[in-house]
Amino acid sequence: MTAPKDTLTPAPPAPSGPVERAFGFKRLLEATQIVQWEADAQTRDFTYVGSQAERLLGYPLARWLEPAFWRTHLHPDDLERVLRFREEALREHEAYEFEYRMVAAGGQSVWFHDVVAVQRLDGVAAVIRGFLIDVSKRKRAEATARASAARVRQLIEQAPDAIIAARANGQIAFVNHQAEHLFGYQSGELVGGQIERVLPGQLTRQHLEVPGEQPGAVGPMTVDGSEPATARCADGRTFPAAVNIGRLETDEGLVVVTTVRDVSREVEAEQALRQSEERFRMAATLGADIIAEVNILTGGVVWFGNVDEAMGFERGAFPRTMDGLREQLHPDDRRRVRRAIARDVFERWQAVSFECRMRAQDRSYRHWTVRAAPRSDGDSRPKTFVGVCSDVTEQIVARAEALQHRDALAHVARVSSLGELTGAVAHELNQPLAAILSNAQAAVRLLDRAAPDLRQVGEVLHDIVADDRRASAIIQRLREMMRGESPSRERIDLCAVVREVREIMRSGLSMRGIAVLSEFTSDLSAVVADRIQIEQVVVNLVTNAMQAMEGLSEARLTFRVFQRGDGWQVVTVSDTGRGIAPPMLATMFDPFNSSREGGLGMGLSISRSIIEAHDGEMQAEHLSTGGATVGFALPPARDDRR
Amino acid sequence: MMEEPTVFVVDDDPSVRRSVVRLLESAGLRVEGFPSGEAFLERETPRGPGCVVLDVRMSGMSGLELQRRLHATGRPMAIVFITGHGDVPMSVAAMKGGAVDFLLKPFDDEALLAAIDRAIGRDRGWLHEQQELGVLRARFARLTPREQQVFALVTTGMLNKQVAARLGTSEKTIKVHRGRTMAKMEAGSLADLVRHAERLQVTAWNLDSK
Repeated sequence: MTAPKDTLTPAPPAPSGPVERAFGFKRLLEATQIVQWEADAQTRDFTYVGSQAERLLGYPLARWLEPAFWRTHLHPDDLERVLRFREEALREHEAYEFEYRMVAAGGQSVWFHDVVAVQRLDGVAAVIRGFLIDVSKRKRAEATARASAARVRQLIEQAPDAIIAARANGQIAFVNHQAEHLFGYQSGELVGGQIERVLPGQLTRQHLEVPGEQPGAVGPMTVDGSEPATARCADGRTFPAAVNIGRLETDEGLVVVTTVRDVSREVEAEQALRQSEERFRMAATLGADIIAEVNILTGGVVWFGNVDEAMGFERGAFPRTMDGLREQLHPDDRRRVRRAIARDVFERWQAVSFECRMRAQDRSYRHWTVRAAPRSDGDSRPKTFVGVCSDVTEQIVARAEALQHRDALAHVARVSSLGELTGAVAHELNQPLAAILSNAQAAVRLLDRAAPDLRQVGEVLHDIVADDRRASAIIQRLREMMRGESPSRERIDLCAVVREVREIMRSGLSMRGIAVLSEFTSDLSAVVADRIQIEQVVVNLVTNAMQAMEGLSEARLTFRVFQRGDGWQVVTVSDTGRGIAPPMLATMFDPFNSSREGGLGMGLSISRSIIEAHDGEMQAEHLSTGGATVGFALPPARDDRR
Repeated sequence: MMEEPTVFVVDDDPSVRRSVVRLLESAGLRVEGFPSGEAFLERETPRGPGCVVLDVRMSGMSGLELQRRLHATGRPMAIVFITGHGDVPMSVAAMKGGAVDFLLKPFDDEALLAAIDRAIGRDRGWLHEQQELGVLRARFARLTPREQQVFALVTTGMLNKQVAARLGTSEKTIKVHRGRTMAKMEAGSLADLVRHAERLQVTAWNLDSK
């Protein structure tokens, strides 16, 4: 309640004697900012005002003594409150204090602390006396403090994190709305309670006590390093929380300001990541799978699973970059793999799987199947992709062996069935041929005789004709057998047929390093044909193409299915092989016409039989670019032709 | 002895059979045709020389089966096989079974006739041998048991004295038996007698076991 020291004026000479003493006291007072006054209790018209009052409001003393000066110079905002308070205080108290503003001559407000003593006559307040003390500076400071407190409070309220302010004894002094929401409490419910309630066992004495060791003791402090704290809600549920603690020295003592952030999601994500990495490691340890996490931006590769050992490298020597990996890839696989990853993973953000050959330390190639998938958090562009690599060399070798076995078996089966076929054909045909020859030679002998028996010779010739007919009947029957006597007819989609064959032949083609392209016209109408037979024809075409490209490094096979101008549907198989020599073009569909050594030349001949039985036609073309296109055309289904 | 040979054609294919029969007839041979092996076996065993032209693959009894059966009858005729489709194992089996030739249809008449000629020649030889053997057997049958014993022992190269010791009689008696045996067997010398013994497959062991 003292005026600030800097407002004290130098003390006047000390007075002597009662009057002087009284005067001296008056002088003392007048030297301060405290204004002594006397007024009528009812009107508060001043009857006396200390001279320093002039300085306080800038009015001459005479104005102070004018009737209703006090009332008319009260700040309008305080008027009602002040008058009501004064009325009440006059009635019930002998003394009272209050604070209010008065408007100075310059228009500015001046805060006064007014101390009033009441003198009554017959119980009625008659005279009041008191002091007016200018408290503007304090009020301004208070206002500023209030404003900044409000600003802080506002900040705290607006902060995204829950904030709890607690006193040194752990009692919660203030919480923001977020805190109440986070912990599931009603507004105001937490204040006054212990901070232990929401952060059990987290805030130790070390946080709450030991004030002043760090001057100001302000600064964030996590409860326990990186590990999240456990926070507890009103309903008992707990969640992982990141807790920041700041200690703040105030007039009211140490205040611990605690910010709490729910980190369940981060913890979950981290756990999921850890789990998935764990899973990767598990998979890598348990199976032959090796997992690569590739940073798309840097091209860095993190391996899970012992890729070094698997590939025969020193620990850490197998490439850890995409560029390094590319070098390990079989040269024939590089473009294909890069294209697959660039298109599916980088552009489409899709998973892709492919097979490739990866070079081991001993320069042998291991066959890998790789399933690569981008790892993306939501809509953002993936930053990494994960490749699960399985070493399938053993399976491939087994498959190749199986394939060879199958090829060998097929070959044996074909040769033996062909042997049987030719055996049967030979036996069937040789019977009439033997008869014809024997008959003819017998006839020659008969005619050589001196008197030939012409009747007998006629009989012989008759038998020869019969046996000749028999021979051609056998050939006719054989052709029918080859053609298949009653092919089933159904509506088939040629694209589907070709796709099916492509699927059947896929491993064989990829084993031979043949790239497969497909150009299908969509929405083709169905044709009526025997599905199995047409598939056989396509298989024959692919087999021929494969054989034509045997041993070539640049081997490519293209399937085309399209509709010709006249409505016929065409299936072709193009290869990049040696092509067809022009003289071959005319006879290539004839039986026993093979360009291959040891070839039987039956494939295309049988194909032609099948296609002709379908009223279709075979076609073959030598490509100027090398290679050949062989295929067939089938007429549209009858009801489509109308 | 120089009886006219007969060729037996066995083939289930009538037109082949007829044409072959016709061809062989035109070549001046006596021919009989049979539609199956069974039919041929039903026929009376031919006495004169001959051969069989036999199809390998026939419904019913196969050519190879007929070959085995003929061996078993004790009149193993020479066989010329003909087949529409032959393979190596089949021809090996046929030749091991004593076939004269193995011809693939259609065959040239000269090849067939040459094979038949050889077959008939072989059959004649066989018949001749059988006849000679028959004469020897008849002579051997006229020997007394004691003469047969002496025949067997003498042809092993034993001296009269040894044979006498073996049979428990005198050398003089053996000399008498030996002279009669040579006369009955129409052997001019001991060497002739030994040859006869070989053909008759007479051995001391055989005699001992009687």
